Amino acid sequence: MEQLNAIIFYIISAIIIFSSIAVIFTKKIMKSVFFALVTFICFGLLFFFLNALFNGVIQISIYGIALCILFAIAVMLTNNNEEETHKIKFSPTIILAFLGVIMILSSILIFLKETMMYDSVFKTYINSSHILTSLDNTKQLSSELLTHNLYSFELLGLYLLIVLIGILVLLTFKGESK
Amino acid sequence: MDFFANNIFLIMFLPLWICLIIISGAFIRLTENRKMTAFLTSISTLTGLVFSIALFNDIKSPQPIIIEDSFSWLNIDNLNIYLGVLLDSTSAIFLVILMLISLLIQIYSYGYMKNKEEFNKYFVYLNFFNFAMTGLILSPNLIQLYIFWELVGVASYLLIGFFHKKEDVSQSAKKVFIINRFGDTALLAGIIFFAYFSITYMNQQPNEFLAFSDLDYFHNQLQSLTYPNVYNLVLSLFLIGAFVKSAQFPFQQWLIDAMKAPTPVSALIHSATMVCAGIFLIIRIYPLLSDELLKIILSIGLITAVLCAFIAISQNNIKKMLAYSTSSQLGLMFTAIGLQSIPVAIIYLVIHSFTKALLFLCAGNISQISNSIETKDISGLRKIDFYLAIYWLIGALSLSGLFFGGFTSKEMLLNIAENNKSILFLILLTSFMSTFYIFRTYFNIFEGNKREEYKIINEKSMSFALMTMVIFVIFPGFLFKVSQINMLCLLAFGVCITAIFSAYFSNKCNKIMIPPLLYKLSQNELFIPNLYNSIGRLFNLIYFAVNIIDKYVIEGFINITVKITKFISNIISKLQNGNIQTYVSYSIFSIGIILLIILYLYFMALRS
Amino acid sequence: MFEITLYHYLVLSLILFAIGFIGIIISKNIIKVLICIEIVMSAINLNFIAFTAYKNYLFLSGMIFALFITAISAVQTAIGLVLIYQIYKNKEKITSEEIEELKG
Repeated sequence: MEQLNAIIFYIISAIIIFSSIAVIFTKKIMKSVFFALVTFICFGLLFFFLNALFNGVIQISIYGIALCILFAIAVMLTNNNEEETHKIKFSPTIILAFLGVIMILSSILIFLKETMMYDSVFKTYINSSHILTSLDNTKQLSSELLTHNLYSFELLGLYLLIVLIGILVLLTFKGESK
Repeated sequence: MDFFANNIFLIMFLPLWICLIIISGAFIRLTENRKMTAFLTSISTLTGLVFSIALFNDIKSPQPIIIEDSFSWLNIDNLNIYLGVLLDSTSAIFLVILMLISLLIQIYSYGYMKNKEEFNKYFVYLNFFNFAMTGLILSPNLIQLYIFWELVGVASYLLIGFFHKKEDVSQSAKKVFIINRFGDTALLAGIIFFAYFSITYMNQQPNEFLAFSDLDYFHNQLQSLTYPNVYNLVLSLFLIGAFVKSAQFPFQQWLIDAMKAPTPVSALIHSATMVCAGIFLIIRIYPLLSDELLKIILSIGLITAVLCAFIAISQNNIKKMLAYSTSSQLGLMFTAIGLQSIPVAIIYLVIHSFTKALLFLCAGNISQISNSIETKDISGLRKIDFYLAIYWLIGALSLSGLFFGGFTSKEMLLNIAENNKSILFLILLTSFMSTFYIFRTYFNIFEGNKREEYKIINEKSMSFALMTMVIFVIFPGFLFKVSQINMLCLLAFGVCITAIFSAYFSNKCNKIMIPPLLYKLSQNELFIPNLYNSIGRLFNLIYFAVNIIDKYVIEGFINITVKITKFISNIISKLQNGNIQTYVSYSIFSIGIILLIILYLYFMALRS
Repeated sequence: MFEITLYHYLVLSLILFAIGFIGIIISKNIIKVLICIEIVMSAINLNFIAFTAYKNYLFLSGMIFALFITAISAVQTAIGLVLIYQIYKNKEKITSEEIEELKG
């Protein structure tokens, strides 16, 4: 069972990596929206493996479905028919970015490699022999949300309200045209 | 009499207070009344006069007293500077003369400056000068003397540059101030040397710092401590200060430039009072002077007397002639000091002050009648204003030493120089030339044909001042008895009569009977102004070099800094191209670098 | 290799983070930039939830924080899309080379 767990993990991670690369490198935007959808849904599946049911559901529904529908509508509204050509100009931007990313990757990987041998606690805590019968912690999550993190929750609600009003204002904003 | 002795400081501060009243009055439009300004000024001077006469009587009583009263102003370790008043016989005499002449000049100025603008400013400056000169006369030590010495120079600058809207007047005022500054620096150097010696080498400190009452003590100590050459060198700095202030030979140029002042100012400052400050200083430090220094004073005094009289005989400008005459007579006073006789010098000074002030006031009247001060423009004034001619004659007779006050003083001078034939010869030569030029001017101006456009001046204050001054020229002569009438006296008399006749004949024939070379030398003032001008032009090279350094090196440095900054900022501003993705890449790069650094530090900490 | 430790999840989230960042910088279309921002946020979510899953914490703070991140980033994308729409109305083009008004 452990091996099945590992194999499924590796397959899902490969799909995620492949589709996220595909998001960047496709020529048409609608296709990149599609690949983004695939990425987010696989993310949600990964969350299921980590004993976070509620988070996975939220991820699939909000990130995956709602956001991608939003992207699709925006793409249809803005009507961009240009195909992206990926001739990467070696401007200082890209060189710096690549360097930066490589530095971040290498530093964190080296750090992880060095500390792996010291930490024997980083073994599995969850009982990963059962893929589909993972413990459900939604109850605990929600009770904690409303007691331990009450203030942040209320503030988040306020923030969402403000954003809602803001978006309405922005949509009906008649600015000066050139 | 205690009242006068206790309140001497009032003489000094009353003019200052009136000065401040007039200044503040200008802000609140209180003393726009000109009569009030002149009245207040005269009241302050009159008070000073009353005080000084009362004090003079005290001082001259059978036991001569010295009043000294000072307070400690600055007290740091060994340095103990006092300010206050010191009144002895010298100060008393100088004070009386100052107050008297000052009062008469103020009355004269009321009439002279009546129609000119900025009347109140003139009286403010006159009050300030009164204050400064009184402070100088009453100072008990060298420090206060130096402070007021400089203040008198400032007052002189302000008054010379009074008509400052004319370009040459303001330039002359600056030149006068700078030349005086040179003398002040020499005096300051001398004072600092003294201070140094007094602090380091004298174990028993005298109570007051550099006081005049401690000069004998100084003299003995210093002569035992230093080489005679060093001693003479340091004291010659004082002498240079005195010579510059009294316009002696190498430095007499400033007195000529000072003639651009209004005429009453010339009468007050540059003939009677400020130029006597040099003589005052020498009298004060007289106990310190050694024999060689007295010889230096004697020789420079004689040189100045002869040379300035020589220049004055060919001047056509009345005020310039009178200025050179002042230098020459001051040279004779220095001669008297050099011959180690201070009373003669003081009497000569008193009588000369009145005489010269009278002559300058007459020159003021002449300039107002004829609107010019060149002798070739004026003639025949005797027929217009008879009294003016009389006054000028009285002044001329006194200046040449024939009658009235000048006679007494010249007799005294000749008597003390009796044993020295060359000095005697030079003094007689000077008196010959003095008589010659003053009478030549008389004949040029007052005789001849009357011009139509002249009108007599009817100003009451000016006439009153002139008449009072004449009284003071005539009468002091009778106070001193002449010892005897001897050959010397008759010789001097004969010399002067010859000079008068030669002046008369030179006016008749309309030329002067000396070789043309000498005449040219005299008329161009021995080419000394030209020498100064060419030295000044030498400095143009230095100005040119300094200008180039300023423009290209200093400013060039600033320009290069600006250019470098602009260049670098142009390069850096290309980093900001408005594209957000660029900015994101910058931040990613920085985060990468920070993470690498943290990793490195972590491993360093781990290994050690 | 067959045992999935915390490190696997951390490495996966790191790789996805890097890929998302590269996407932000390379993309020409701004909507693609917003999509890649979402990928980065998801990777961060994975990071937090992996930590709470593998460690015996008392409170489930990581999962709650991941909820917050989700909510806020979704809202941020929505606002971004509204702004992009406004820019589109002005300029008719949404590539990153066109939007350089703040150049200097």
